[in-house]
Amino acid sequence: MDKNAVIELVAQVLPASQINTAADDLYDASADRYKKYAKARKVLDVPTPAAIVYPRTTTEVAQILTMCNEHGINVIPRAGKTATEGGLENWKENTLVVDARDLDRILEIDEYNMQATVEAGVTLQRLEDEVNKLGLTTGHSPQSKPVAKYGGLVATRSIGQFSTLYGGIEDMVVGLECVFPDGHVSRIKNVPRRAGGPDIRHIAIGNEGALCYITEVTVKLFRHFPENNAFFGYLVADVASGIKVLREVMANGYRPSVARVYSEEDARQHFEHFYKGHCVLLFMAEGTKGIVQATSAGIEEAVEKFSDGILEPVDPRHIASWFEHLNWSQQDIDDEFQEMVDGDSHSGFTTEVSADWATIPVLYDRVIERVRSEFPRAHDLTMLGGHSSHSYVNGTNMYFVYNYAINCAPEDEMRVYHHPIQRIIVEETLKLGGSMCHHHGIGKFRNEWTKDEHGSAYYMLDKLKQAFDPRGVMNFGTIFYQEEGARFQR
Amino acid sequence: MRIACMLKPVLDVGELRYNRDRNVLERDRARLVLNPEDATAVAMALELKRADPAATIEVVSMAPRRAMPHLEDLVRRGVDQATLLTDRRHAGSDTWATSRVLAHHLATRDFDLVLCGTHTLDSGTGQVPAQVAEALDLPLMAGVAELVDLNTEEGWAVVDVDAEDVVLRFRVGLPAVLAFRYAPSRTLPPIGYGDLTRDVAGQVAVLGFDALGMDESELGLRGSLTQVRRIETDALEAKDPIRVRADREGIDEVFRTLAEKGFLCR
Repeated sequence: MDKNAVIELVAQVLPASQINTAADDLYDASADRYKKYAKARKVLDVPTPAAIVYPRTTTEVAQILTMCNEHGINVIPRAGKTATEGGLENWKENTLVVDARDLDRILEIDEYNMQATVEAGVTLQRLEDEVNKLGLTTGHSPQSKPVAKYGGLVATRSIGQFSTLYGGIEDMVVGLECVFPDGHVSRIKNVPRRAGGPDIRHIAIGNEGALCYITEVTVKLFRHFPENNAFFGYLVADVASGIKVLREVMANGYRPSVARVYSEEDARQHFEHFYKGHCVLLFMAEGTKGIVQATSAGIEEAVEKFSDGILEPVDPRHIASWFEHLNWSQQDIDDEFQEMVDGDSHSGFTTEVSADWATIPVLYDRVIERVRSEFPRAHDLTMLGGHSSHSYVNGTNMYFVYNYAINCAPEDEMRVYHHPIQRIIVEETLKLGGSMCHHHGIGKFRNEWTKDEHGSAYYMLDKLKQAFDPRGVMNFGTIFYQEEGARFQR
Repeated sequence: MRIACMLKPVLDVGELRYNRDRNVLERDRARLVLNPEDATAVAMALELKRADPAATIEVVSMAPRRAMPHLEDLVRRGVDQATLLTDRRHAGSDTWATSRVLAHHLATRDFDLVLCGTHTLDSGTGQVPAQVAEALDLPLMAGVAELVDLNTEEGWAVVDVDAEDVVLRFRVGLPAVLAFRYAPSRTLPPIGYGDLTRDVAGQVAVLGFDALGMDESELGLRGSLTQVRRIETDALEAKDPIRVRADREGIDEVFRTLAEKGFLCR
């Protein structure tokens, strides 16, 4: 079968107006932000998909998936297009990208029961704006908030900047509807909690399009009191000192919506006007006045308890100002793309991991030391640091951030720079018992470690793939390692 | 055609940190980068070599040892030979002493062209090209925007010099020192994937003070005409940010502020 045959087959399911075969759009659909530089410089090494299709109903999604399953056509589910780990990258000649663009209805905002139901193509910002009018919030605010869509947010198990209070998307999803490659539509009902066997929401949440296509999502809503927001900032001696304060706040049961510590290198990127060459610790307390007062007192107590590592307080207005400019718009993404077209640079890469409180400071130091001493192009690094931005009672994440002067050809950038650094981060994290992927998902470029990530529990993951996608048509190479795709990884 | 390039690895000014407790610049932690105008000159040399594969390029740099990876990369990009002039006794050299070291080394070589940048990021005096040219008794063209024509057999080059609001064209006899201005469009070629790990040790020489055969009094602080009596630093004062809306009034406010501070002329 060739691409024309794929297009002919899909034309039997959808009208021409819902099938896109424009060359520029197909090139754009061949990769996500993982290979952003090669993409911008027009040197992508992966095949383009046969077409992008835009279903308007769950029935159409089921028809497309059934057809692809029967004919062995690879399906890449897409909603929002802000993936960063290769989850939207195409490794097969015969591929359909199934985009949720036209699944764009807000189906219900249930103010009394504090939940909203949306189709997969609704942007987070749109729902947030709507519920804000009612004094409510989704509580979800990833950096991609203006662009990200619910199908993608749930499929990638995303997290937002206020996660310490509201949780990740997995804590927000009440129920959902998804379609499996055999065309079966599952609707998981919306209840506050149940003990009806394993929580099957989690088969869809975080499946990264490798098991099913999410068409509809119901999420929790929360009362919103932005007028009460209180900000706290401190310069701290090192990352470990900041982590101690984060732990104290969390262990005492406080839930500031933002709780972060930045290494000095990373702090320079965001807080150059006040960081004074030091690490930065910051918090935002959010909620009713009473909750904000209690949370603020808890933060100040923790800071006092570990005052040895606190160098000086920061004017809260600096933190408030930073908070107001957290999100990336489509314009920011477009600007970076143009920068990559025009020059030999981009805005850097990240690898996000998680581990318990005791491990994170050790992990941070080990990674930085190994990168500086082992990475062959260490002299090209323009930035190497990280921050913890999502905390839990038993641990936190570490968002390693790095950038470099690109002195190789655009098509070699990932294997020369990002991959060797990412390998060090993943190896050290797994060695210390942490998770190699805190919130970006596995995508296609960490799949070689999926078995190591899950250990003996990989058995369960593998069985899910065999059960729900026995013909392997769902997002080939995502989550699950494929030898055939290795040539695009190295 | 034999080309010599003078190149200075400079501290990435964006990474320089001022230690307020010790009142010093923390130089050792800052990354080294190729001085952009020097990189333009090397890119020019590599262009000439692409047009005339028989041409040879030697890059000469007086720098600390940690500049080595940058010189090795230049060889991987197509430079034939890199020479690092490095010695603890060079420390403290001003532009005069630096120029003497560079000229001393270049005097041992045959070349048609000496290419370099006009200014460096870290000092910007523009003195080294002139002082090297003087020491070697060569003509100098500084602020070169373009090498328009070149004939090494007849011994002349035509260059365009960017003189702020006018471009002047000169013909200069060879050998000569041509000091370039930064040209963003003239970038160093990428290093091929296979070349990234190529062993280039045989094409990179490290010469210490003893190999130069100069008198120690000509180097370092003793050989420098510049004498620093005292360094004073401005005290930085944190200012509150001014936030404006993206509208007509906001634009006027930005314009007014920049004009008041002398960044814009009304």
